[in-house]
Amino acid sequence: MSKQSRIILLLLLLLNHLGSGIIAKEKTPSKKEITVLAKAASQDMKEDKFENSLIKSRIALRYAIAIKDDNLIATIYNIIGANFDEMSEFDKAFFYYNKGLLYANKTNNYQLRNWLYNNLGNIYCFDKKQYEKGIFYYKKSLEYSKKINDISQIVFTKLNITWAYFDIGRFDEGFAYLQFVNKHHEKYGDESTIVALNMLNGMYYGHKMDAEKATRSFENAIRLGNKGQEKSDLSFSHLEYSKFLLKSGKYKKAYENLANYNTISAELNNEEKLKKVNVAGINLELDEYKREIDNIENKYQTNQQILIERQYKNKQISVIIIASLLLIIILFYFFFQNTRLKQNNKLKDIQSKIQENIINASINGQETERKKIASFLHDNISALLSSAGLHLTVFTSQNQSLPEEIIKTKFLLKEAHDKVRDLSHELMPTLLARFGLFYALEDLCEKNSNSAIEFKYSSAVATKTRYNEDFEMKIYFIITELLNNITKHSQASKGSVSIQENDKSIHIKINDNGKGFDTEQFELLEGFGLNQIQARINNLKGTFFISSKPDSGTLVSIVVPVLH
Amino acid sequence: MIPKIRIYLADDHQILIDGISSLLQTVPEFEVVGFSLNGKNLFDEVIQNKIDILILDINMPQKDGIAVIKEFADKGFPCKVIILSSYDDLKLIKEIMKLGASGYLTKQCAGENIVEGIEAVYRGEEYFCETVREKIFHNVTKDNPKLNRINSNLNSLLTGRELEIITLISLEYSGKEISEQLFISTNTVETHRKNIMKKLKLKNIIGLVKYAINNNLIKS
Repeated sequence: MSKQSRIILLLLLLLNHLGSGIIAKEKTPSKKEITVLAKAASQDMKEDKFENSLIKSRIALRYAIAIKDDNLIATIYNIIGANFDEMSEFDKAFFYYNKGLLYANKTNNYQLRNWLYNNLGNIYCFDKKQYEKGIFYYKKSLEYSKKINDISQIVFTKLNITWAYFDIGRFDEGFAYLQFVNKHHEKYGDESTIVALNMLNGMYYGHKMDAEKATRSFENAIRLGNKGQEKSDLSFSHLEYSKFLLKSGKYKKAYENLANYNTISAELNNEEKLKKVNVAGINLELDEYKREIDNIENKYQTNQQILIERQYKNKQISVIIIASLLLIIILFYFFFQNTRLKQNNKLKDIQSKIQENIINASINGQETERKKIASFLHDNISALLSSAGLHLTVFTSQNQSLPEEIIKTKFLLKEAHDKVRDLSHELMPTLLARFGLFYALEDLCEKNSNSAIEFKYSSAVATKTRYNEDFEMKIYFIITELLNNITKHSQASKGSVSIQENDKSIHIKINDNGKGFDTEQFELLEGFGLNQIQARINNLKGTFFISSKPDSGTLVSIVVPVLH
Repeated sequence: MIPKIRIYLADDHQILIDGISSLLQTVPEFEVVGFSLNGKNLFDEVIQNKIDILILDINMPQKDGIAVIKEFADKGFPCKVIILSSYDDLKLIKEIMKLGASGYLTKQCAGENIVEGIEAVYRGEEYFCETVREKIFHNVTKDNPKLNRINSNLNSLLTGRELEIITLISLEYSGKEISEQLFISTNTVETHRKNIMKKLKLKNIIGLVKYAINNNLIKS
């Protein structure tokens, strides 16, 4: 089988496949037209009208690029490559096959890849004599023919591989492929390859020095070659047969075959020369042709690039839009959350204000009640009890005899009076009411001091200073509460209350050397009634600050604007 | 005829005034000249009625007892003032005594001590009802280790006040210190001392101390 026929065979198969595929799949007339055009180009090539074929191919290629059909583009590149292959312009053929392969690899058309690899393998093996690479390409081709499960194609490619291995003397590696071809050729093989197959068998047996089988194979090849069209294969058969005969010492027959080979190859060469003469006319234009194809390609690529750039730009724009949309959504979400939070806070504020008001009201109410009860006890009950006592005394001083009942009654009256006085004093200390806050606080410190704890009182404010009565009362009871806490909870041995007046505010510092507590623990604050105190100080528009740590005492500082 | 002690009452409770009046009327030397339910115009009333002793409540509407006594202190005392109040706070008492009151009675012990108080003040002494007096004394001596706490008023010859004074003298308090601590004048301290010496027939201070030790008033 000649290389030319192999290429043509591939093209025919390709076009059949392409045509049917496109007709079946795509009804686009322009595509159909391009396919028709490509088929025409292929037909022209088969009739050795290479110039026509190339012109048609170029037009078809432009259209194919315009509609961006990778499949068509690859096919047309294959036709162009095949044209150059036929004209023995292997470099150009190689160039276009490779381009075709580039596009074919973008498609799923394994068949097309199979042919292109096969054609490239041919160029490597027959023209460039780079058998290793050629075999690599053949094997790639084989890979795709296996994928499409085309056994005739597999047989065909394996035949090529066998030939390549045998050409470089690696008979053992080639033999495996040869066996496969021998086994399947009858069923799947092409008529045009039968000569080559017989020749290859001859070569193998020749190498194995099996003279009988080798001779039979070579004779078969020559017989079939003389009958058929494959002159090139026939010539190679003569050549290989001659080599074998030479090796076996049959010089006369070897010479005859060599002579035959020379005659046939000279004929073939003449034919090629004739073809080349025909081609010469085109040859001048070939470079121009290449440039134009490149132009088409470039233009396409520029367009493609612009398109890609545009797509990229579009992508960028859409990314920006999506990003800003996301950003807006996020911002909106945060805004929404924030508003909700603010509303919540407002609600909490209101709630805490209400709470504070309730506390204030209850504190104020408590104080009013306290005052009321204290003054009632003191003024009325006390006066009544005293008066009762006085009258009893009058009675006793007028009567010498003292009945037991009278003494007992007097005692009970005194008891009642003491209790009333104590309660009244607790509710509203006399000193506070009569002499003011500072007397009362000094007294408070003294009264709270005992063997376990000593409270020191110091004041930078004159003792006689008086403030608003309610204000004094509030401050007094806040301090009472704090001193109670120290006495009850702190286990301190020393405490101090110090007072200053600055900028119309009273600054109170209450200190102890007790066990302190963790100010972060709110239960403790709650437990010590510090929340209540805080509320009372808030009520006076003052500030309240506790500094304490476990085992390092407690400092409470209070600043309250003074009311006179 | 001995002139009666002219007494004026100031208290915002009529019922108490009635009680005191009826009690004081049982003493023939006393004459309750008048009364007032508030602190206003007391100064003029006292002067007009030539009052010897004013029984004054602290807690009164319009003008309270403290304001009255301050006014007296400013203008010069036209009479002796005995405070009759239900307050028994030492600080308060001390302040009031400082302002120039002569006696202090709580309402609880008014019945027992008012007659005695009026008499003592009329004599020119300072007077406190028993509970207050004991409170003052306790406050002075509470931290003194030498004081014998178990002592009781065994000796009927001396008054409670006189025993206190003996004790303080024996504890080496000067006359001035005693007067400061007990809220009384040095004169009163001196009078008490003389009375004690006379009652116990002592010649000097040493005898007085000996008496205190012998009677377990102080620890030796």
